[in-house]
Amino acid sequence: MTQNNEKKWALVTGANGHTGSFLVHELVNNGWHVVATDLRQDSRKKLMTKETVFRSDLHYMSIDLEQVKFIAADLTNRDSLKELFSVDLEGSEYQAIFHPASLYDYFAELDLLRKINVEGLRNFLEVIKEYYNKKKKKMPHFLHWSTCGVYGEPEYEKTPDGFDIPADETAPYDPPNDYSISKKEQELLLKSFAEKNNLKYTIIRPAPIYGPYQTYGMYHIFLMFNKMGNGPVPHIYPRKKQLMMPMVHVEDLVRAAAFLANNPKAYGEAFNVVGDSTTQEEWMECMFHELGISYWIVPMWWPIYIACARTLYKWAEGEAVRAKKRNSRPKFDLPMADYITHQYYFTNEKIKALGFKFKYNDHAAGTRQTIRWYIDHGWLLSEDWHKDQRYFKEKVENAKEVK
Amino acid sequence: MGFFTAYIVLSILGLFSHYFYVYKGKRAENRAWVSYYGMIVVGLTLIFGILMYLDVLSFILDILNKIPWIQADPFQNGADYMWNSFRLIGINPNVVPEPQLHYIAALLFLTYTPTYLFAKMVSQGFFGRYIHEGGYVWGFLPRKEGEDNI
Repeated sequence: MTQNNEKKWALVTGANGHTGSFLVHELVNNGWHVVATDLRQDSRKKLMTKETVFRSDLHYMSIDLEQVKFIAADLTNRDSLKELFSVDLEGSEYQAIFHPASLYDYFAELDLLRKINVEGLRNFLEVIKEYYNKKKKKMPHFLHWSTCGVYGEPEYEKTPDGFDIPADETAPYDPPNDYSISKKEQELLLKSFAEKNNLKYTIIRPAPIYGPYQTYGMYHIFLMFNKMGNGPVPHIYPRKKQLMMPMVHVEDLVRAAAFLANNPKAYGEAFNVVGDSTTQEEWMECMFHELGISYWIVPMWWPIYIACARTLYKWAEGEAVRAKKRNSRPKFDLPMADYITHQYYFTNEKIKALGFKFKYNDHAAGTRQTIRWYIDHGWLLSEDWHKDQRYFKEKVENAKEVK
Repeated sequence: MGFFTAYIVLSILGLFSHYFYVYKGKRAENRAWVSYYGMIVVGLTLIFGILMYLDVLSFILDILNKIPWIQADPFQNGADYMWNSFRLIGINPNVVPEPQLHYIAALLFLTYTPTYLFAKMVSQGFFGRYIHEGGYVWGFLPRKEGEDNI
């Protein structure tokens, strides 16, 4: 066997996105060679308006690495996908296909989500099938990115004390928003395709992802409180009603994907990829502490809390409608507000049982690492950063104008 | 402005102290005005109250006593006004400014600043504490299209 034949090749879609870029780095660090694909930069910028809700100067981690070949492709264009299989892999074949690419945008219309996420997956699978049928080879392991959102708010079993028991991968589908609906449809499509075509697949269902370089989702929550400068931490009574905060650090997510790619026990299975959940109030206290902002703990009886949370949700609903009328988008997408009114609580026992160990299972460590990264890189604001960069930049620009 | 009306006025003005942060979006430039504003508001309220209490501004009472509903029960002196200023809006607490009340009056004057500072703290919540913060007001304002929203 030659040196070249020993190379492990992976195909990664959505490689210029947040998870995709981390995944490429993780695979390369683990000795893989990667064919990375994503939209062309101009098309991507046009589609991903979510990335510029607050700032236009943010960018994901570069995947410009020696072991990476980048080929631009569009899931909605089957011909462009075929190019991914005409790359010279130095006599080898893909050992795994990672498919994190999708339009993850809570504000996008369902039709667009279906076109990109569901029809895009169909195109991709058909191209894969066509290629491997022609080559008369088995299709490689296909790792598909879904979301814990496909469960919605499941019916939780209770402990004798009345506390919720986290839902596992057997919870039924009940997607609460358009994005999760498209993810559910993707899963059903993949399962039916895999059954008909004998495809080895694994479904990864991450909880809300956080970590450096993220420009949407949890980053918006960090930025919102960073910008508002203070916030309340509702301390809900009775304690059994307290809401949980499921989340996963992006490094853990891509490590889990690389782990599952090498594990035959993962074939045909779905896995929740979520760190050990903490309560929302504990996480908020930790976040406020790391952001260095003032907060106050407000003891609240559950009916009062839920009334306040629903009022806030109604306002967010109105904002979304008003933003649509303005042909704009709101500061915060509605499904993000779902977390203050619904219980989302998922177990990670299945992936742990396979031997996977989370690096950031402690939410505090992950939150601290992420927030410090944001502050160090100027993605979250601090008084010094503001003074040093933005304020003086404005002064310099004003001075230039005067000249 | 008597003792109790001063608390109301200081609270309301304190709530707007950090509005300078959002005024025309020039937070850094307006920062000093948050302090100047506080000094002016608390200073003027205190000076007015103390001078009034000491009967230095008795000419104001001459004017106020001409108001029809005050004429029936006019202010006797500055201390009477400070304790019973609600009489201006038809509410008479009937506090008789005995000499023993001077100590309490002094205490009330001392609480002007903390009252303002408390309202200022709430204002920080609304408009932000530092120049890069926007407070709750920022959270509730719609997103501006075509520009960075931070």
